[in-house]
Amino acid sequence: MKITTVRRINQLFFFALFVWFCIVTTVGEKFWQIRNWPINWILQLDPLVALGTIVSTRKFYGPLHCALGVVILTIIFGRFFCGWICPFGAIHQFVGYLGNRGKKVAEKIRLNIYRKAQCIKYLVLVFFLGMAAFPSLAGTLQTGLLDPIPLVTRSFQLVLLPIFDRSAYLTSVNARYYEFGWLIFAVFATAVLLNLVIPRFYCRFICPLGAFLGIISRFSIWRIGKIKSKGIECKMCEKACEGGCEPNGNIKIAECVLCFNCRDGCQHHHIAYKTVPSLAGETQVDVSRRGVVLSFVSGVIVAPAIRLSGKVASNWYTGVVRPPGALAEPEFLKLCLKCGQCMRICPTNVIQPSGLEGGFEGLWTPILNNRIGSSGCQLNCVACGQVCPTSAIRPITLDEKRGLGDFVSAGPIKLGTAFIDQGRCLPWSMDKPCIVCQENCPVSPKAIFTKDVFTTVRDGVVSIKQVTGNAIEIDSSIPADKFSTGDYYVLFEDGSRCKISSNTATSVGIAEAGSSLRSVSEGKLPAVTAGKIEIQVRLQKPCVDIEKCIGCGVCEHECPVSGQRAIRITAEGETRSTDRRLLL
Amino acid sequence: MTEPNQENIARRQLLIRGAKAAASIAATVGVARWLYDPKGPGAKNEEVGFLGTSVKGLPDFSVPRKDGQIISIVKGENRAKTVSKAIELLGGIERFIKPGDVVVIKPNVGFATPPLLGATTHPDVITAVVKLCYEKKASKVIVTDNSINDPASCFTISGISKAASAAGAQVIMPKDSYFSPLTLAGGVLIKDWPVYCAPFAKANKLIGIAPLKSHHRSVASMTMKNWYGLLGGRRNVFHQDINNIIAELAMLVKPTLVILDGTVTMVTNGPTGGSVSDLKKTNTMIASCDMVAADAFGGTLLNLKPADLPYLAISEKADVGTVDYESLKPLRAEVT
Amino acid sequence: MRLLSGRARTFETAVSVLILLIMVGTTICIYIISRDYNMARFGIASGSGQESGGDFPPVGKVETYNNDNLYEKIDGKAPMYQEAGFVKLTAQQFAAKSNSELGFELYVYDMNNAKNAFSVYSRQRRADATDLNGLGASGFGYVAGNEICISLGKNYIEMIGSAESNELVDGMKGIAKDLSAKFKPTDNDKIVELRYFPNEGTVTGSWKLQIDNAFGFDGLTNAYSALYKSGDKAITIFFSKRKDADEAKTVAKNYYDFLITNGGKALTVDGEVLKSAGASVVDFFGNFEIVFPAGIFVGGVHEANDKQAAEKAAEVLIGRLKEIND
Repeated sequence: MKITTVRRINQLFFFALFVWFCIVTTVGEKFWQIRNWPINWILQLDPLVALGTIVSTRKFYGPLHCALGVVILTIIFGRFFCGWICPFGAIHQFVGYLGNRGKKVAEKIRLNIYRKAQCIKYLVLVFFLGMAAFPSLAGTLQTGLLDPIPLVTRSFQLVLLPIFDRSAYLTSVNARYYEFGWLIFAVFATAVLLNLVIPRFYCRFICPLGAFLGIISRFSIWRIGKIKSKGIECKMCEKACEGGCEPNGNIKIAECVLCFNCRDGCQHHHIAYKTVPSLAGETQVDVSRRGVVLSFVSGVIVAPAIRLSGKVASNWYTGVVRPPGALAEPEFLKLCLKCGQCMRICPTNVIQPSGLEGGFEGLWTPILNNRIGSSGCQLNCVACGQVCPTSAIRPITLDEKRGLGDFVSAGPIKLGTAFIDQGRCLPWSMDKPCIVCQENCPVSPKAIFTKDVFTTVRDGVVSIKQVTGNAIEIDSSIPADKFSTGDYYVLFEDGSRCKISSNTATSVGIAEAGSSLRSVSEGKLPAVTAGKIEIQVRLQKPCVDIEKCIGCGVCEHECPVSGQRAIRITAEGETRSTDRRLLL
Repeated sequence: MTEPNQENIARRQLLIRGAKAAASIAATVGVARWLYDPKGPGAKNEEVGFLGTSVKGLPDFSVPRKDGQIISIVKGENRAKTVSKAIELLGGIERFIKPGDVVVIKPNVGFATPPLLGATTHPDVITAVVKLCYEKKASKVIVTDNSINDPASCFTISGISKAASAAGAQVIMPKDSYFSPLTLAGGVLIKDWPVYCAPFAKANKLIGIAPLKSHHRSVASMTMKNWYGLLGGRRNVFHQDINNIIAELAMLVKPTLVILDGTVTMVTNGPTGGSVSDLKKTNTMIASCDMVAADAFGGTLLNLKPADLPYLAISEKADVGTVDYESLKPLRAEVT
Repeated sequence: MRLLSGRARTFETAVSVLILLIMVGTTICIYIISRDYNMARFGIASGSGQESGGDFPPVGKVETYNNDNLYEKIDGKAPMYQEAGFVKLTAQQFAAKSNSELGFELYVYDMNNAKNAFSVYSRQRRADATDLNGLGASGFGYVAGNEICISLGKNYIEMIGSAESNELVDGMKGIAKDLSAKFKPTDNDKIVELRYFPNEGTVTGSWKLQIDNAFGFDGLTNAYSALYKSGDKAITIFFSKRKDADEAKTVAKNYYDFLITNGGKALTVDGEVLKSAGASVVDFFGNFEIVFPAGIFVGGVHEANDKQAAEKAAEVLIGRLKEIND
């Protein structure tokens, strides 16, 4: 069996595994739901995830230990990850292959020549590491933007799967929406389509992970190379060379992705994978020292430069409500890969990729948008922290989120606080009874309480014509049946109040005594036969108890004022930041 | 002939490369083990200052108690004279300052208002106290506060920075890195809250100098409220429980001496005042080793009884001081 | 074209096969890992292997509350239970396997004995309740919208559903029946007094037991009341079993005095039955109260707005209680 066949099987395997892991990222017990599928395994294998987080936090997060294995194997064997495992690379290779069909051999060979521009990816790597390197100078982890595994994960989870699942509803009961989905798609599509220009474009020119692996494969024991320095210069080896490393001549060994297409393509068996360097010569990473230093320094300076907007300091954008368990903002930005796992698994679809509101660093990081999805952050759910590969969202327990058990003294985790926009709220400004927010508040005791207020309705002062039994005939005309909902009352001149059970255009009927659990009076009409009465509405005006509010957003989601909600969550009072505290 | 040579060279190259590879692997594994963090970040993040020091609490700057020399009340118009007399009555500055001491003076530099408006500590008092410290060979006197408004403006417009520097003191402006998270043992409010610690780290004496003012929220602002200037972060959140925060600050800070300047008292519109009509000449200077007593007496100049200042009772219960100042036998004098 | 030597080809195949085996091994490992799941770590769905409520497996932890912290769970309703002999509350959430947002919370109030449980059960009966049958002789229950409330021995049980869904209510009903099936009542659990009400005319399900302070009078304890249909009016009749006939007479008189002291007006007693029973009729601010001793019982009518219907109901009750006495 040829090694290239095994390589293809391997690529297919990891691609299928990757897609499978994306599909099963839904909470549930079925076979095709999360169970205990190790959905982050490929992210955990990614050495740049480990390297980036080590540089930004000076700590090596435990679950990323598999990456160490990949690094060690790369040091020994070379860039096998790129050629055999990386699902993004597999996509590029496949699209490049499709794009190359029908091209002449000479053309294919020409497309695979080594280009100087292939050194850009090393500069990209160094730039990102520079941005992360100095926490005191606003160190921030932005590798997630171009690191292939987070990138492809984000593209599949937030764009491709939702698109394919829009009507099939196989992976989710409702259509999923993701803000900024178009930009994620654009980046993905561009990267994929560029393969039609040059095969494996992204891998050769942009990929910072490839750059890192290229650097550490310097001392690999086995390497691709020519075993005969002279001979036929047919260059058939380079016809399908994936890395653009030119195995025919001076091989740029750091670019070799171990696809073995050269060995396969050479009819004369001049190429082999062996322990001696190529007889035709070998070059290491070809990037100028000046370029590296410049990139690094740029990265170091750009990080605080993009923080000048103050968006991570006192100018923080109040809509940056992060998922429960998220670290405080500066720490969070050191760990978030923008991989989209939390957004995908969130059962209510409320976690969304952020735009630039939280600063440039916040692009595609998770924030909650309570208007989207099915119900705000569910009280009894801690799924997002369970799937975050770097613990930017900590894997909290339900007890910690709700402030129970060991966490009773710490109290529940607050994501923010609900603020009522009184001008838009139906009971506050429109004289319309509504307490949807209070009813839906999931905490117990509720964080929304109501203040009962009676207020006279528009044109509600009328004169009594005649009283018959429980019915009061009035002199003016009122909308028939409008006041029959049980929320309306008649206020008599002596100050007593009776609930209205029904009304016609010209009369108002008073409810029987004891006919409802909440009648305000016995329903006995005071002895009046004339005079003025006021038709009043009983409003329960909602007020937020900010000591109890956890900012879950269910109220915002349920508020019937469906455009800009009359009750909205903003991040004041979130427990993850001491300087955003509302209360003592 | 060439082949075995080539083979040897190749083998040697391989061994060298192998060794380098092994070394890289060892280095990688080593770094991984050194930085290994199985649990990941916890809920609380240690925000340590840039210089890396994290203070557990503030040192105790007080001197041994001497019954009968706890609180002194001096009447007079000239601040320099009254404050000198007040300190003299308590045993003289030498009771408090020893040669070589590093002294921190914490005045009220909260607002960018001129001294005439009485919202900040009067520069004359600072000049007098700084001079006294240097007379007794203090090695350094620092004057500092965490102003409410922009510190540079506050220190300048209040005249404090000029007076302090003229007397030879070092003025320190607050910086983010000078704050460290601190928890008061037994406190409810001061929990992991950024407190202005760095200037106190190397000091051995602390003198608080406060003007006597009324205050809309806390009723009065005197020597105990003066320590609010040690809180960092968004400290206004504590206005929701103003009496308890003042009491906790008094538990946290144990100064050598406090001076309450009641020469010109702000009787209305405190704490910022704004007009000379808010002020009244009460011509009294108080020096005390007991902040609670100082404030209790100071309140009388604003026509306040101790019951009007709930933080006094809370502090007395926490053993910070004594409300009944007469029982401490205050030393009284008058200076012309 | 030179072919690869046989040895080289075998080596290549061997390596390939080895790699394939590693891949297969990885797949198997991943699959095995996936099966070892604990849904509780995500919070919302239940774990397998726990005691299941059928289609509604339990979710989250079991919460318990005693007299000190009952307030934290049910806030203002706590005093009602605490005054009625409350011992312990056990609460747990359940969620439908198919839809984790559909579920209910189960509250089991240990009220120390059946009478206490029945008392808190009966006094909270919702206006729109429909009786739940099949709960056995000592079980009482009703369905009201999204709630099912049961009194079963010393436990007062509430199941509060997250939505008004038929599927959910059916599920809860099933669980209620399971609970009562498993419940083995002792003699203490039987509320025999309920049979003392007149056989005909008593509105089933309208029984209430007020342990003390019935109708605002602290001398009237262990009062059972129910609605009785007198003509087309529903009259509240009540009785309380006393130690002996003398105590019954004393309590009846004390209650009468209480009504008069608080502004009631005594009316003349009509009808032979009432007169011979020694009944008193009081007009209490427009409502009619009747109280009488009947053997070891104190009985009467409360808050009726029709005097005739009230008297008729009282007569029937007197007759019934006489039967019981004998």
